[in-house]
Amino acid sequence: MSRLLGVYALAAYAFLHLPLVVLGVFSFNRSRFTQWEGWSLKWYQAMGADSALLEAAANSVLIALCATLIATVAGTLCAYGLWKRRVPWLSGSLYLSLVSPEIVTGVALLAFYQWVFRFLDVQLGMHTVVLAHVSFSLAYVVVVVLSRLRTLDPVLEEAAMDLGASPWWAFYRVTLPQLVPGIAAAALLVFTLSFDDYVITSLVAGVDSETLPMLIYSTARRGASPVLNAISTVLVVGLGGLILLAERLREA
Amino acid sequence: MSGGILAMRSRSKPDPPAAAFLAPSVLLQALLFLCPLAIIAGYSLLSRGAYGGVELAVSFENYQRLFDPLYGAILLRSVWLASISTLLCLVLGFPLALFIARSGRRKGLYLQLVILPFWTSFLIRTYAWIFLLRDTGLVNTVLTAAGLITQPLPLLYNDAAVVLGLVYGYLPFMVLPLYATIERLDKSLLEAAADLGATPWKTLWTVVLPLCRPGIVAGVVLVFIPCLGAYLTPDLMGGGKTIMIGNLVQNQFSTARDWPFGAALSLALMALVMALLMAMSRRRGGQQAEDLL
Amino acid sequence: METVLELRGVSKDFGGDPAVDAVSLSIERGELHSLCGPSGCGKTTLLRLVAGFEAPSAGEIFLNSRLINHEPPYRRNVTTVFQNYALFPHMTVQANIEFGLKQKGVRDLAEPVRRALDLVQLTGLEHRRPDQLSGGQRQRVAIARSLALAPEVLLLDEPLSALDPNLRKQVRQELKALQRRVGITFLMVTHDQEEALSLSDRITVLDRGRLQQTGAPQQIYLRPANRFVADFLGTVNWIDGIGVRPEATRISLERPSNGARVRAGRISASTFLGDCIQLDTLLDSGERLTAQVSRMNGAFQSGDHVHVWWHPGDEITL
Repeated sequence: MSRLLGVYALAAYAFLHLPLVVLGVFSFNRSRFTQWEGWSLKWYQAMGADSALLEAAANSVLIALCATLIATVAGTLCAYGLWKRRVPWLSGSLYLSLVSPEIVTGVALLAFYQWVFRFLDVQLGMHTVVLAHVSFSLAYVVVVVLSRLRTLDPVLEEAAMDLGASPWWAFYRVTLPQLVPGIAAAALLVFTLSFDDYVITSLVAGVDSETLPMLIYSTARRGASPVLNAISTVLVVGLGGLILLAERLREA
Repeated sequence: MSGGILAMRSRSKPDPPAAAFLAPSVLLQALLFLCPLAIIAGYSLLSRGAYGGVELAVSFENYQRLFDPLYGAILLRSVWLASISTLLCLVLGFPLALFIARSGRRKGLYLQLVILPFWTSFLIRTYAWIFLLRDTGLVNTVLTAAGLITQPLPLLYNDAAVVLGLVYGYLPFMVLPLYATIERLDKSLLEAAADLGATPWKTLWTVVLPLCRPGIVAGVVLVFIPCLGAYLTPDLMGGGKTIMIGNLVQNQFSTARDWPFGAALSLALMALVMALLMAMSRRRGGQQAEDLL
Repeated sequence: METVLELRGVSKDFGGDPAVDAVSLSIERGELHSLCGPSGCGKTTLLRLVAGFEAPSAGEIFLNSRLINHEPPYRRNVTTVFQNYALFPHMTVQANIEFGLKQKGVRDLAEPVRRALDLVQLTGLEHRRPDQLSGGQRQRVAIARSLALAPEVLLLDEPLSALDPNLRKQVRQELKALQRRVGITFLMVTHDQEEALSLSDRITVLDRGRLQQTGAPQQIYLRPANRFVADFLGTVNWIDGIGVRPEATRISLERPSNGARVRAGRISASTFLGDCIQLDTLLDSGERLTAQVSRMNGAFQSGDHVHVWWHPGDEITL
């Protein structure tokens, strides 16, 4: 039975990984079509020369950085607060935001923004995208940081206070340093989630805020393109590296 | 030796109430999650305006329309596609989870290999299948070159492609809870079964599978929920007819510009998701699924 | 003697039965005082009330005659050695000891850290991290960290329970010697009556949140206030309301003639305990009685007819 299981597992891993590997290989194909004509870097050069693409990528990085900063700070503080005191409605709300279908989160935010815009003179743009990303990634930060906190001994803070540290100082000097790997992992996770998001972004983005996933989507909609193969490969390798780093940190 | 220390400068500031730590996220969560939900809840009770806006006329008409045969069919179709995908994930995921749980020191690596693609851009993973399956994609090209077919096979833009995309996307959600339960199984139970003369297959069927029920329940719910609310997969891999609830919602907010109905659909979808989660948390698998999230 | 810590009618309930129930207690300056009792008797809660991690539901706590009920732990000049030591895992030994001193605004840290390490004989380990220390070393760092602040009272929560049994007896004596050397008041929680008896100047026995008795070890062992205290501190044979401890119970074939209290009976079991022999007897009157005798005069066998006797002065009368 175990040999059969091994063969099956090999097939399953091939199913999970081969599509991306094949895509990666064909991003180096000289031909524009799906026939192999030899190695070439020309699609990567084309990618580097595409100004619309670079602008979208810059937008994505900027949005992801802002969302990561806000969500990580707020989420870490929140996890610490929830570790100290149970707040059922907040935990419930975070849990709900974690499981709501993306499309629902997206249209709800869109409806909310449109309603707010009746009273404020603002429009959809980068800022609305950033806030939307904070909205869906906050819960991820709380979950990751809280799981790290649960491995800590609450007595350590008591010991700090017993030695004269105020609660703020105990948090800053004793708890926070031990949370750093968890916080870093959460930040990397939020960055990739934000950088990758299409469904919610497409609903709340303005005219000036086209992101890389939106560009990828519109290309994929029309079929395939060798430049898109190259972009995909760069993203899979780059973001995959970040995720591996995050996993390493979570275990640290 | 005493006294003096009390008189020394203390760095103490006022106590931080947990509320101070919670304030930013309470604000964000209320403003960016609960308020939007409340707004669409409100919209779902209004009527569609003449020019795509909303009219302040309270009615339950939008909810009645959910049972309109046209939309009812889409709801049923979504449930059907999500069910098929979930079942396939279970059938494909169980042996994989079993394999990982039994692979000794390499467990961590094998588990990583399941998790990693899950974190890679969903959009790009969907695109990879488009690249493989479209008429001029790799599979059709290879088959044509090999002389096996003359016309490209219609591999993309149909229900089967959607199911494939969903299974590919959410298989890790099934494998993780299954692995966790198999891993936690008391090894002596398996040894006892073998000792009593059961073959490995018999043990699997009569001991392992029944004991894995909590993991199976957790995995099924974890896969079914995102499949039911899927938008991107049916949009990119489905044919013109393969429309699921997610696409219907998106349609109401874009082309159809019927926000009240789209809002009602969204709430119905949320209600379905919550009902499933509650049903699961009553069962034993519930806590485990929440842990994983 | 001068009172350093005083509890007046202190109670604490977490909903349900009170964990600490109207306890009044005075701790004298410079003594090593043990709080002792079975698990759930409220001894740890009492310690946490003094440290400031819990607020009393009723009653007052005074430190140097000053009411400290509402002072947070970081303003109370008492420090705690936690059961698992609670050393900060991300800091070196030195940083752990400096931690409290920095809170107090001490400028020159080197000297007090050196002195604290010297006290517990750990000089040279300043730069180790807690996970690079043995259990005994960790305990001593925890003590040094707390002592460095020169507290009015040092609270110790089961300080020896995390050590392995062989080490425990040795550390017990070191702890007592250390307390004598620094002269600081120690208030120690323990569930181990032998530990309490051998270490303490005075012992307080608690049961179900209530104070049962306070006194010197000999006093509470030989003159327990009630049956609970008597039984908690060691086995007692109870006959007609009179108690006698197994080690005070003698066994002989001949009837003793020296004014002792004597009962006749038979040996029902003989158990070798290493340093002594335990003899279980069944008296002719039907009661069962246990004696611990030295190996030299324990050559009895089951069924032997014997006389069981003790001196009236060894009796425990309530």
